[in-house]
Order: sequence, then structure tokens, then C-alpha cells
Amino acid sequence: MVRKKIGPFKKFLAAIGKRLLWWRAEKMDLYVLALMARETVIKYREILNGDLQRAANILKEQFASSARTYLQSFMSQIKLIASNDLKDITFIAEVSLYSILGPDYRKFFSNIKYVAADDPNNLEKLHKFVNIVPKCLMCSAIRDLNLEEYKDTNYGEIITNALASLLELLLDYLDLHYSVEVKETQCFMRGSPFGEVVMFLHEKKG
Amino acid sequence: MTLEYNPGTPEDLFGKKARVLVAQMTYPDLVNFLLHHRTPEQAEEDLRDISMRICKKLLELWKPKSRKVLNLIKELLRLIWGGNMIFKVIQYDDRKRPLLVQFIDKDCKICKSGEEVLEVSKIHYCSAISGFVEYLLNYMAQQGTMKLKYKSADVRTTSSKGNGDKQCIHFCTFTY
Repeated sequence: MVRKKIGPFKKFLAAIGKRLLWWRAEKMDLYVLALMARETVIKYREILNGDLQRAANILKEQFASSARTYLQSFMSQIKLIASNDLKDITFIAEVSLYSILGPDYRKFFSNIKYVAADDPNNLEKLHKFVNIVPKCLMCSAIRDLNLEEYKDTNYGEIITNALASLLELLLDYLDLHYSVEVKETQCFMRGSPFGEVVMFLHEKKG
Repeated sequence: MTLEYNPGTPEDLFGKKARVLVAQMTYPDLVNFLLHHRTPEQAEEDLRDISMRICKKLLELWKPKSRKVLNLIKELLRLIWGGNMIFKVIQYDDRKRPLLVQFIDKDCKICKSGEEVLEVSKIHYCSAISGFVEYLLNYMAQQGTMKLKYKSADVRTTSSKGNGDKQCIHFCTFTY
């Protein structure tokens, strides 16, 4: 049974556990990983007769599906710290990001904030998670390309869709019946000074 | 189009780490996509092409220190995702220079991801590695800094654990 709240002791255990997992993990260069995404999209585009949008969309779907497989392989560890309080999701998300990128995850995903549906400042009146992106993992690796072509592809969604997919899987496990809609509300390629990703939770009907 | 703000640069990513598992989980989708849209021969060339382009971009930042062929490949593997490569010279030329060399990858990270790929037997699953190695060896030959003075190298994957083979083997043919 999933607990109602993550206590300080569980948080302490998670802090140790995430470091241990990261230390033991097989790692690769982050730039190579970003280049893999970049060159995969370019190759898909060549095969799809120059259709960049479709090429990017295919990788978004593939990456989101891989993210679910990734989280499933970690579910036994996640279960140890999970709770079905939405406020705790930010903590679990940070532990998950640490498990993927190590301590450097903070350079790309700053503190994730939970905003309750009934918060007076929440215009959409939906539970949401807001994440500021100080530096963009995806944009960093494509700056020498023709960005005019890329700016309408929502290229960053290769990452954000994967994160939304992770969140949806986690919510399912926690018996929280929401679907996740992700929006890049601020994007470097559209002229914003930082990136911002908002994940809205929609209650599932039935 | 240039970006008014700084979303990050390759330097912000280079040297930082991510779990290999992320790449391992995405690679089968890439191979499946290629197999559905291309002939197996083309798909294999596509995998090599992708890794060559990655290596080309990587070399804009990375300055390899090794001057010996095997050390250079080990340095590459250490940088991208680790691994353990050994080699065996199969054939020498009349001046006792290695002509045909077999690189055996004892810990292929790509092949650890191969379980879910359809029709994988039609291609050498870890061909991407041969693309990385070939590009690097030729780039270094052009720099003229290698101890072995070859003109060019052609690297081909001949067996992959991802295909059910016992070992991952890449054959390298040097031209002098």
C-alpha cells in the first residue's frame, strides 16, 4: 500500500539511495546523448523526405516510450519512497532526475514546483507542476543548425514528453487517476530568456 | 536565426554524465525504425552514418590524447559510455605493418539493449560502434599524429552479441 506522505526518514534514505545508485550506474557523456537525439532526428528527416516535424515527433514518441520502460526498471526503488500526496511528487521527480543525470540535473531542471488546483494564483484551476529550465539539454546541441526550421517543432518536447510520460506512469502506480498534459510555456527558440515546462493534471473520467 | 538568450552550449553538456540506460533504451527504437524504412544494408549504413556524424561533432570539443590505435579507441569508449576493447592483428603487410585488425568488444553497451528489436538478425546490431571508430581513426590519420602511419581505416562490424553472436567484433582494414 502506498503511504500518504513521505516522512523525513524516507527522504533521508532516498538522498543516500539516489547517490549510491548514481555512483554505481554505468554512465555516458551527456553531450554524446544529446548528439544522438540530434543526429537521429536528422537521419529520420532524410528518410522522411525532409519532414522535420514528423522526424522530431517520431523521436518524441520513441523517447517517451523508452522513459516508461526506464521508470519501470526503477519502480522497485521508487516504491520505497513513493507517497500519494501530490506535493511529494516533486521530491520523487527530483530523485528520478538525479538517477538519470546525477547531481548535474539541477543545471537543466531547476526546482520543480507544485501548484494546487485551488491555489488562487492558478488560473487554469488544474493541479500542475512547473519546472524552470535554466539551460536546455536539447537546444544546447543544435545551435549550429538552422534554428528557423526547428523553432516550430517543439524540439524540447523530446525531453518534456518523456518526463510527462514518467509522471503519468508514476501517478498510475500511486492510484492517482490523472492524465498529464505537457506544455512548453517558455522556450529559448521562441525568444524566452529561460525555458519553462508546465505539466497539467487532468482528472481521468470514470 | 540566432538565439537572443543562452540556452546552453555543447560545452555545458560535454564532460557531464547521464545513465547509459537512457541510450540503451532508445537504440532499439532507432534500429526498428530504420529496419521498417530501409533495406537491412541501408539501415546498417545509417547507423554508421549517425555515429560518424556524432563523432565529427564530438571532435570539435574533444581532443584525444592517445597516439596508439587501441588506446585511442579505448579513450573514445571511455568518453562515450565505457567498454572494454581488445585487439588481434589478423594480417600484416610485407613491411610488418598491421593490415587487418580485429577489435573485440568485451562489454558492448549497445548490444545490452538488443532484446526487443525486430528482425535484428538482418543487420549487425552494434554497427554504430564501427562508425565511431572509423571516423575517429581517419580523423586522427589526417592530423598526422598517430604512431602507426596509416592513410585510412575502414572498419566493419562482423558480429554482434545483439544478433546472438558470441562476441562483438569489428574488423579494421588499414591502407598505407
